[in-house]
Amino acid sequence: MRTVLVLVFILLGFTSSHAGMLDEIEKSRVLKVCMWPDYFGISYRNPMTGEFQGIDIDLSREFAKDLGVRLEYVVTDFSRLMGDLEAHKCHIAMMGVGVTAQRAARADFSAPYLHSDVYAITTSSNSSIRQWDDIDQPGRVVAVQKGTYMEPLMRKVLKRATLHVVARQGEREREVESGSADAFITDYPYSQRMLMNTDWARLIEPSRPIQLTDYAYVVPKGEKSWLARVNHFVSQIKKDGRLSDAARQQHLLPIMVKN
Amino acid sequence: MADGHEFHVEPKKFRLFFTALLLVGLLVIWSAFVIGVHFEERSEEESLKNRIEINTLMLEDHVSRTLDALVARLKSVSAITTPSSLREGRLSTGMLYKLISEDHVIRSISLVDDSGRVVASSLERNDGKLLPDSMLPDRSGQLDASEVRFGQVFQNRDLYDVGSPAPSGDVKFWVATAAVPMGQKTYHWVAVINLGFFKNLWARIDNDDATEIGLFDYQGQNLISYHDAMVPHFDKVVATIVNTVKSRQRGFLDFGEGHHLMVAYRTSLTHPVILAIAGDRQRLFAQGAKDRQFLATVAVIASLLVFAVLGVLYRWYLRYEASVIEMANQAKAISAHLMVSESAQNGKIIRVSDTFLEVSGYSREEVIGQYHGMFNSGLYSKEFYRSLWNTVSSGNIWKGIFRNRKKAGGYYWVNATIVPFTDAWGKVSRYVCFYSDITEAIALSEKLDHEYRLREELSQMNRDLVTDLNTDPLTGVANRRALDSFTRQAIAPDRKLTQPMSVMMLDLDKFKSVNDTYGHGAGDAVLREVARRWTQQIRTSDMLARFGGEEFCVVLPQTSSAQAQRVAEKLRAVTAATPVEIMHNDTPLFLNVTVSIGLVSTDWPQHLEVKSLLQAADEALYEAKRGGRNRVVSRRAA
Repeated sequence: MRTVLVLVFILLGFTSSHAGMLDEIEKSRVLKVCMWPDYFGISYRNPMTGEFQGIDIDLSREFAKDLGVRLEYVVTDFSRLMGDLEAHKCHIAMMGVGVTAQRAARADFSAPYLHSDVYAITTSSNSSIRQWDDIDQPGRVVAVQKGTYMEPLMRKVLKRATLHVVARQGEREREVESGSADAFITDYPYSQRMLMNTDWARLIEPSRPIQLTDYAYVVPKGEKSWLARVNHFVSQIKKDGRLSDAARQQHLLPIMVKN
Repeated sequence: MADGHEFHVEPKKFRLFFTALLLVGLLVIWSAFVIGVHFEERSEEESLKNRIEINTLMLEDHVSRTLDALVARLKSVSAITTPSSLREGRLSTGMLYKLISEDHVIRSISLVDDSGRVVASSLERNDGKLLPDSMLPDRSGQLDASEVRFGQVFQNRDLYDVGSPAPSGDVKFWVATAAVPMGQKTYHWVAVINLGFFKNLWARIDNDDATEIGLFDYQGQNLISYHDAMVPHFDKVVATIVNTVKSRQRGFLDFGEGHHLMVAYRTSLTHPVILAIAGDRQRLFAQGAKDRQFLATVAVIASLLVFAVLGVLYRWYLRYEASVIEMANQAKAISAHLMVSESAQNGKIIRVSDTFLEVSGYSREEVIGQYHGMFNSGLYSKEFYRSLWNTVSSGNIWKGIFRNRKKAGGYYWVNATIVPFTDAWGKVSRYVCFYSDITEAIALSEKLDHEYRLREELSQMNRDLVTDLNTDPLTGVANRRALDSFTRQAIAPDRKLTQPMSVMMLDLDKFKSVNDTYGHGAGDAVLREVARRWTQQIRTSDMLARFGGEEFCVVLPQTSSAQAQRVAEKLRAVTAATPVEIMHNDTPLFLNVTVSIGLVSTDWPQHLEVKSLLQAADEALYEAKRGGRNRVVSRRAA
């Protein structure tokens, strides 16, 4: 009896020491997904129903179903995301993460499923910004959310305007609406949210492509088999139409990666 | 119809009528258009005024409520501001940001000490900034801590850049301050008011530049205007309103030459701001041009419709006119050619033609309203008239010939056609009789009939006469005269072809003794019998004639000698073969009779006289007699 127990412990110890994240998920029957609940169209809490919605909410449910495990969301934001992944707080981040070199250095990206350029949101009454080229002018203040890929991008792009990096939730919008900033830079899904949900927002589209950024799922570094499983999922949803169904529901078809 | 007056048309009058109708129609349509445009403009002005006033009310309310919230926020932050809270860092940037994060009209709030330096702020960049004296209200005075004052407008983004050159564009803020006693000193909370916040709402209402929205304080300081001086006279407008608000807190004004600006204004009852909306009357009106254009389109379509309808009606009229004229001509032709009378359904005469009057001898007054019975000749049975009436009353045409009585006495013949006329619904409404006076024709035909009969009688008599002249009364065969005429024709020189011809003379043998023995009656019976038998033997083209006594002659045209000899032999044979039955003293008696025949034939009858032929035949007969009777002697003519 004792020998059996020892054997079991040895076996357990053996498997766990060699177990990748995929095994861990299969064993615990739980898929932990890092998610930012403020990302309109991608992953957000519907203010009316209180339910999570978005393309990545739909697709993470599909992924958990494919894996045959329970789904668990881990709330994070873009400034904390890398740390959370490295700390293995979640198995995967499904929150429209833009592929950047900095991020790729700390975590592994799957194949992209969306790609978006950057857009500016200003107020309807702002008479000093009428087009994209009005943004980078002396005296203009441009806000970006800390930790997003727009932050390094705009640091590089803006030459004359002042960049205002904000960290608090909703601060970008407040900065622009209260006039502290002239515009904030965001991506396609978020700009759509602003247009749909506010009266004052006005979209400024880039006059030329600024930087098309791929959006992909992120897994902790070095999880090869897990990354392969994630990539398999991505290619599957592209093939079987689950990606386009979810994108259509969230009006994201224009930025969907088709293959 | 007969008198033709009913078909009178007045082409000139009708053309005038149609033109007048067209003009009236157009007049009605276009005056309706003018009136419509007038009312549309009136109601549009009314609705414009309404819209401006309602927008003013709404925006002023929004401004007041927003400033209420701002004032409340300043008061609440003042309430928690104490030297200790400041010292212990409870007035952190994060806390202050959180406090105002939902107030989008506030860019930042900052606490300024008595020297004008920012000691706490919701915006880190403001910290430590020294504000110019002019920015703060009376720092030395004793102020009610609960009072919030509104100050200047700055062309800056926030406190941190006050004093530095204003950035381009329309970033500007207004300040509101609340004094806070800090021990012996007086600090101030300074709220940077985001004026663009109001503009965000205005942008939703005022999306055309024919109206201007302005917010200003009692000093006439323009806080914001939506289009930034779109209305050239807006400054004047502001000045006027600033003067007016002392007595009236809200109102509606007309400005400019010809009142081209309509202005509504309202003052806030709690804050020192006035909101005004000015609209350019002409440009706003131009927006109603679509409605007026629509009205004009309707009017044009209606005009075309009137043209079209009148055009169609006019065409109908022209067709009617043409048919009326056609009818008038036809009626004229008919009543010139025929007598016409017309009666209503009840049979009373309602119209007669002149020709009718001429023939009947009545005057029009005498017949109108009377019945057709007044012309009855009395020559026809009641049954005749009943059948006539039955025919026409059942909708059928009646035709017939009858006589009518003239006024002056005497009759006239008419060939009449009575036509039941129907109305538009197919019901019989009148009976129209067309008569032709055939009295003369009938008289003429009677006379002709008589003459024809006379001529018929005469020709019959003539025919009888001719027969008698050419026939032997006893035997019924031709006589000498007929034979001569026949023979002459047969050998007439105009006959082109030469045909042979034969003539035979026949003489009954010892006929004298028959007469002597049995009487003349028996002789006659014998003659009739032989004539009958011979007639049966000859062709119809041959002729048998009796020359008198017992002497006969047969002419056979187109008959050669050989043929003639056979005929002659037959005649002789039928005579001798059967005895002739006679009655003698009431007893039948059979007599043997023979005949001698002299035959002469010629191939050239034209060259001969009838007489010489007969003579030759006689000679042959004589020879036959001499030769012993009951025989045929044939000869050829010389």
